[in-house]
Amino acid sequence: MDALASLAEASGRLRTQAADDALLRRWQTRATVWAASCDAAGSPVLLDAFHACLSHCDAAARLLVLDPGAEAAVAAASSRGIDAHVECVGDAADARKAALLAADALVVCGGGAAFVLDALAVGTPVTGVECAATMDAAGDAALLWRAGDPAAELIAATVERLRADAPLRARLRARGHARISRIAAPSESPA
Amino acid sequence: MNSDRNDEQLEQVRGEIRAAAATLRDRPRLAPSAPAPAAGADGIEAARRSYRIAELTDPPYHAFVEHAFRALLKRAPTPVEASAQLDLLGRGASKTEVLGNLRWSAEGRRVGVGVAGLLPRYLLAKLGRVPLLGYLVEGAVAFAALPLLARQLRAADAAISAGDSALGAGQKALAARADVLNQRIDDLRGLAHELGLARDELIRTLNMIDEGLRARASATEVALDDLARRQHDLEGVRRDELEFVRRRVYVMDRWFEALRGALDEVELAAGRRDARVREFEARTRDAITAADGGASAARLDRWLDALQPACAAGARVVTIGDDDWNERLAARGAIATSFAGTRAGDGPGLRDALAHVEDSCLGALVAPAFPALLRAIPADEFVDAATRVLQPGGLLLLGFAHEPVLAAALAGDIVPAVQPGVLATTLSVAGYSTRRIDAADGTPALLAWRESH
Repeated sequence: MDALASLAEASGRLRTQAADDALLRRWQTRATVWAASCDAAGSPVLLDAFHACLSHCDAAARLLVLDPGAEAAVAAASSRGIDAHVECVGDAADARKAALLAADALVVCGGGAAFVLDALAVGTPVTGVECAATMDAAGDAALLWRAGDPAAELIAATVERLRADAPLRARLRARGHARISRIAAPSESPA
Repeated sequence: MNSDRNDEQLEQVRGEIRAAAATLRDRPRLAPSAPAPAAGADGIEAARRSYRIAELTDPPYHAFVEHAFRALLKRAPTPVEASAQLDLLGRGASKTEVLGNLRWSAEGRRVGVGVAGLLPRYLLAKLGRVPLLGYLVEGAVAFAALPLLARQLRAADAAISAGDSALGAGQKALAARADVLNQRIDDLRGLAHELGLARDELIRTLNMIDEGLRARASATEVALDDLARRQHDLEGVRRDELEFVRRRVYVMDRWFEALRGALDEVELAAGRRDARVREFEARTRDAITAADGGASAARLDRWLDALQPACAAGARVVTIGDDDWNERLAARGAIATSFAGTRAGDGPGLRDALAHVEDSCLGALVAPAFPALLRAIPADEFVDAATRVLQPGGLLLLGFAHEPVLAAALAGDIVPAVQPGVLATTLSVAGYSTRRIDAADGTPALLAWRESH
């Protein structure tokens, strides 16, 4: 079993993992909720995109950063004056599941594949900027944009569309579940 | 095919998103806001302190009252409170009046939630409650709002008509559903009837099985009783047979005991007889020897001379049956031994003695009275034993001394009559060469040796 299959199996277990109820109640509001994962290079893109969302889509939106040790992103958010909207989720599985359940989408700007697989397993749509690890994990189950695109506006608009378009969410959710099944059991997938 | 269509749809969505993203910056910039307050599990947003009036008045009837309590008092209404507010609405009060009552109640003031635009509307509603002035004010407001009221009336009429139509459709659907349910109930009744029949059949079958099992149990009990009786009988027979065998064994034991005693007596008598015979033979032999005037000594010397090559110093010579011979051998330097206590007629003793001699260790084997020795061991067996124990070139001296033979004959033993010529033939067959040596008194002996190969 390769590394991606192991990650997919772990993400499959997240499907049966109970979410942290208190956090879920706190994050499930009428406002837009982003779950996000980024590396150092993707952090400015993510914050630009979220800032665009706050400015033009939903001023009460909330950004839940999944990466453990995402204090740098929070500090960058502070310098932009949007730190009140940004929150670190921490590395507990029940908190991560609560964030993914509450979120309208998982926004990925670099970083590993684990959160992408978690989101696919839970049924949260995935968007963000293309990179090798993300594309390997998500396949055709995510709405990813090339790095050369005006990513900030595209990502903000994508989350807004995902929030409003239930059939699109359902299509992506179905693709995500199929993707997880294919990765976790590669021998059963068609050639 | 389906996948292609999905991809096309997704590409179309991407295009639409690109278009939306391109115009995103053109949208009016939103005023900064705190993150959305979280609603509790009971739907109460405890931290939220401001609402738009439309948010509160939009829900209908029950939902309006529930939502108003949760928003303005941050709690759910009790059934009595909810009923009172619904009565107020039923008596024609406006939603703004209900909201104002809650907001500016003592509890509402303490919570202090802000509702934009509620205060003037509430004051106007309250003004309508003042006698005469309220009537005039409400009349003026109603007059001013006549076009709006007419529009709302038409809209209400349309809504009621739509509601009636929907209600009619719903009733039809319900009737159809009721028909289906009735059909299902009939089906279920039929199924219940069939199940009842099946249950009765099952009970009958079970009763039959029960009766069959009881009959089998009774038969088994009878068989078991019969088996127990047979076992009891068999045990009785076995006990009787065992007692019979025990008695037989006891009798046989006694019989064997008597037999053992008889055999012991026979053995004792035989031992006594042998002792007597040996003693008689010894005395007879000694008497004959004493009376021969030295002839036997001369005979032995003659044979010893013939045996001289095998009597070198250190040579081992074994004699069967004559101690005097050993003394003479020892005098010539040979290591002379004889089988101690071995009488020529003691067959098993002689055989054992020969069997214990090592292979090829003797220079000579001597039997001065060979015919007497034949009472104990056949000639061929003796020759085989001699062949085994003699060294290569060893000598075999077989005498025909008459004293032991005579003594044995006088004691009653039958001694085979063997002639030297016959013995020489026997030895020749066994591979020996022989030479006859006659003593001075004419007593013959055969000196035999095997040619070395």
